Amino acid sequence: MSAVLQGWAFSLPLVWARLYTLGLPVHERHERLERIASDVYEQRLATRRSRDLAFAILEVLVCLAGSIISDLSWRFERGHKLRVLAIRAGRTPFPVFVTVLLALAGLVGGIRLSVFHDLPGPELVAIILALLAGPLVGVLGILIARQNLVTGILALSAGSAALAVSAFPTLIAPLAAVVGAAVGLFSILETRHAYRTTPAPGRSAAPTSPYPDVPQHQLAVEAAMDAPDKLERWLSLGAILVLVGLVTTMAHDLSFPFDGTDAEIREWYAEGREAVTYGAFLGGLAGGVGLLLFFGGLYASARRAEGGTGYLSALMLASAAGAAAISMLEATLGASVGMAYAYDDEFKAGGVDTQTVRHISALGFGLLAMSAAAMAVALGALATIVLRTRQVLARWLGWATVAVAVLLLLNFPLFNMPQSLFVLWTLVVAAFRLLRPEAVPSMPRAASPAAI
Amino acid sequence: MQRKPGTLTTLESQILRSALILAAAGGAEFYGFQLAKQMKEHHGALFRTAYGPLYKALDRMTDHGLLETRWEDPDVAAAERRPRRCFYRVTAQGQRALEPVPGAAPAREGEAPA
Repeated sequence: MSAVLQGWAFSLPLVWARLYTLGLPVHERHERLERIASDVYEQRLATRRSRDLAFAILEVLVCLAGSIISDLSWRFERGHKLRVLAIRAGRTPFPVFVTVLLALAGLVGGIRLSVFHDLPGPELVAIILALLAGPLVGVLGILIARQNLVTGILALSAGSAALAVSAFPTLIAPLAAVVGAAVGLFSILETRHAYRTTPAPGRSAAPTSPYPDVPQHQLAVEAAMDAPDKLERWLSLGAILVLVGLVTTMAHDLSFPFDGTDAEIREWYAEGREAVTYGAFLGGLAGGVGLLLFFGGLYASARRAEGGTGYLSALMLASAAGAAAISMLEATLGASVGMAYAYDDEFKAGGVDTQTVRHISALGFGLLAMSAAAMAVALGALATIVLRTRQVLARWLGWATVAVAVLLLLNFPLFNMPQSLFVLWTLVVAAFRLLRPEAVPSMPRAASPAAI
Repeated sequence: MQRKPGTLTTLESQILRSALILAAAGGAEFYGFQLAKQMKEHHGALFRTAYGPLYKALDRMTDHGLLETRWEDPDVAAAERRPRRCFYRVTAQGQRALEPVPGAAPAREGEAPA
């Protein structure tokens, strides 16, 4: 019995070590496990000599309890270092996508609730949320892009919690939890991916290193993460979703009598344009998602090209995320009355308030102008990176980006026409990135002794 | 871990002192359990230092150049049918971290003279 108890107690530290080292690279995990195994083995050997079994078991359990916080903190530091390294290299945009998408889903869902449910002043709530959405997602994007994932998640949770308390107790709170869980999951996957590219010590990629103070395996990780990823280029296909968004919005706008009389507006709803209405809503959603995918892929390349602090690429991603948020809100608001008319019989019986319709229409127009301004900032940051580094895109495309950015700033006086030009730009950039992949950088070689 | 330059944590001071005692007894190199046992005896503690804080401190001290580390030859460990040991050795910098500066006030526990 005592032997069983002893074996069980002495195996606990190793079981715990196997648990908290999950996800680490093989060589690092083995080193940690070997140290603990050696320690436990020696302790067990000493116990046999002293024959004080009860105290030995107690000591092992006390040691284990005293280790838990320290072990978890060590594991977090190891994972965090890898995540920082990966994000710095612009290699893993997934956490950014997931976080921003879920934040947008929560906010858009919240606004839909505010429009369609019996909340006080739904339009006012919708406008306030519309004003909050862009900055919230923008700040979130900056925090994530500046490699501060934890702060980013906390900012999102705080923002979501505030909204949950004020308006939507049932929707936003679970979404905030989902965001945290999703980011955690992707962090683990991302860490595993980064470590999979890490050769074990002794099997380093470069025989002679120009950085003698930096461990070879760390250099190998950095070199691997400096290489462009196929996914970065394929994300450019988000441009197709952006085009879908433009087409569905135009289909809605071309058929809707914005300048018509009250009777014409009521007749438009009475004709049953559900397909156009839902199409505009879903198209707006697809367009926003497409923008995030498109700029997420671009961010990876821009961040790598920019190097240093990465403020320009962070600004680009944050501005694009803000623009996507505002566009999605605009699509939701624009389709809201039509959707309520389509499925809410009481709303239908009460008739359409044409003044509200006109108000929402004007609001949508203003939101599009704001979205264009945010997009202009994103394009300006990207163009600066392209023209300074001569990477990411061709030089001529860099200048074209400047031109589109300037026109987007004039979106309001030009009646939203530059937004169509922007969609064309995304298609050209996507084609360029898919047809002309970046060159893979190689690790710098050490200078030969003769050359020094 | 955040720390002031030139200072040691209490655990780091204890590790260095115990390591130097082991070195004086003839073992220039030591491994984790040996160190934990020495620390327990030297400080008259009831229980040994827990695995987590001990190895975290050892890693940190290695990173700061106070200790050097090497893994035992796997064949030696296999011949003795036990897990491989990770050996540590106090560097010159580690020894200096515990030395008092001439003319300065005696260093308190947990603090090394600059």
